Amino acid sequence: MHDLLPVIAAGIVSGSAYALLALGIVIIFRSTDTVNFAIGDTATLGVFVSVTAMQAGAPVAVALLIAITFAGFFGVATERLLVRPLGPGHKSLFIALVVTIGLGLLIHAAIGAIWGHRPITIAPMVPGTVSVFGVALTWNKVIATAIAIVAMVFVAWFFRFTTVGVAMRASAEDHFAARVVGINPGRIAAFAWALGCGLAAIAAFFLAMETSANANLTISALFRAFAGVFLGGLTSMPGAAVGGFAIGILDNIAGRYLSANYRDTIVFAVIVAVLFIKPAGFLGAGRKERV
Amino acid sequence: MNSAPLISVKGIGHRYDGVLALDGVDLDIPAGGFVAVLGPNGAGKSTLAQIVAGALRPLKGRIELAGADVTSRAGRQGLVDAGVALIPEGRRLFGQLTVDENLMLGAYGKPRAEREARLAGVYELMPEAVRNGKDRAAATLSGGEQQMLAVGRALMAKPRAVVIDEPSLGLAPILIDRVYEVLDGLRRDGVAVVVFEQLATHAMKHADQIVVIDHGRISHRGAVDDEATVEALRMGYLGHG
Repeated sequence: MHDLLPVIAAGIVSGSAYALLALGIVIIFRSTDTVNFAIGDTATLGVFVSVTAMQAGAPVAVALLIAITFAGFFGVATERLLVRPLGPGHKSLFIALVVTIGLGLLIHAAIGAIWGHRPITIAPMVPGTVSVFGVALTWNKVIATAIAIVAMVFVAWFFRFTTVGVAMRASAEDHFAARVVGINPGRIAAFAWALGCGLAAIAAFFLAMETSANANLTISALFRAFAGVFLGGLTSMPGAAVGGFAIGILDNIAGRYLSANYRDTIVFAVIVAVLFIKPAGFLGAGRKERV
Repeated sequence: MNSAPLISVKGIGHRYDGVLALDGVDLDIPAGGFVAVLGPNGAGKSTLAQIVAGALRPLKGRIELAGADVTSRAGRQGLVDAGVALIPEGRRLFGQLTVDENLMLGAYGKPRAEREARLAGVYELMPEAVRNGKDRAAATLSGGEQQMLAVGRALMAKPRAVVIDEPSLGLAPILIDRVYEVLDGLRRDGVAVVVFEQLATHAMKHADQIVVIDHGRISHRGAVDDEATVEALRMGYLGHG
């Protein structure tokens, strides 16, 4: 166990991507009751658009902004054109779930058709490694984790201190009461989908920098992000962030000390055990019926 | 009291999954008036309250605000920006949000300076526990405090009319009196007040017009001290006799 610190550090690094994706999933779910299974592919599409921008000469930082903006707008369009027309109600929520799964498959195919199936390498923002608390990490990982944490702090500030953020929390709690005080549900949904998909794009961008841009970029991360969401609670934003980091750390500990082959099995066995004891997750609230 | 209607709903009909909730309802709310719509459980009061406030678009009929047809605006964000605030049944506060956040949302869309200026005035009307608990989650307040907070949230919109559904629901008589005192104060300030109540006692002490609703239809409208009003209420609540 002498190398526990590096393992935890690696877990925090990978967990930051899961946490961002998980936060995006929860923000969208709370505002529109929709589990957006296309969030990973939307983010990947944003990354490929930014890769094209980089190939045209855009600096990496600009490319990151392009990925965030594109994914955000794509999310808004998805909500406006595919999810909102389904209308409210439990039946449409199930249909929305199927629609987002279908959209994800469509995006995945489109990426292959447009950019091909060969992975595209992205040069790191800053090459080389750095020692953090005695742990050697690439600058890319350090920057990715720092940006993820800054993004999460921004989200916390946004929801706590801005009028739109407070309105989004209000709308998540009671759609009808929110309308009664004059909050426009369509605008809130647009903000949520833009923010959720934008956060996912940050995660995807740094995953691509760490590995490569490819159509399967977010599949594994999204799998773990969903685990983080259920671990932290589907309705809780802090829970999603904590859940994402917890999955990252658990994943690395399982891989290092138990079995690399069974890391997924071990991680999900722990999650099942936790959910057995606390079905709403660590920080999630029980589902309230809206009237 | 000005007799020109501020809000007028005409020929309102509404159904839920084929079940009739309202049928041919006409109702005028005078500017600065105090109207109590009374009726038993299931009479259609909450549906009518939401339609009067523009929070629900009726399947039939029209809603007019100061003579203008606003039916097409109903069912989205209500008419709060046009000066009609709704306090729904059960208050529908944002329980996880603080007292301060709930009040500030009452004036959503207004500039922050304007909202903060209104906040000070609204806090003066609030009970001590609300005034001293600005950072408390609204869900932790008592029923009476929550009702006052709901009234305060509506007042943040600086309304011309306040529509309040079942203000006395679940409250002790002394707290109901306090809520009605505040509503009386609003009327004195020229704000039209419309209460939808199952419990007639308090509403009849304060309103200047009583409307009785039963099975989705207006069965009577008249003055509080009108014998026909008492008879209509008796018929509405007890059926016949």
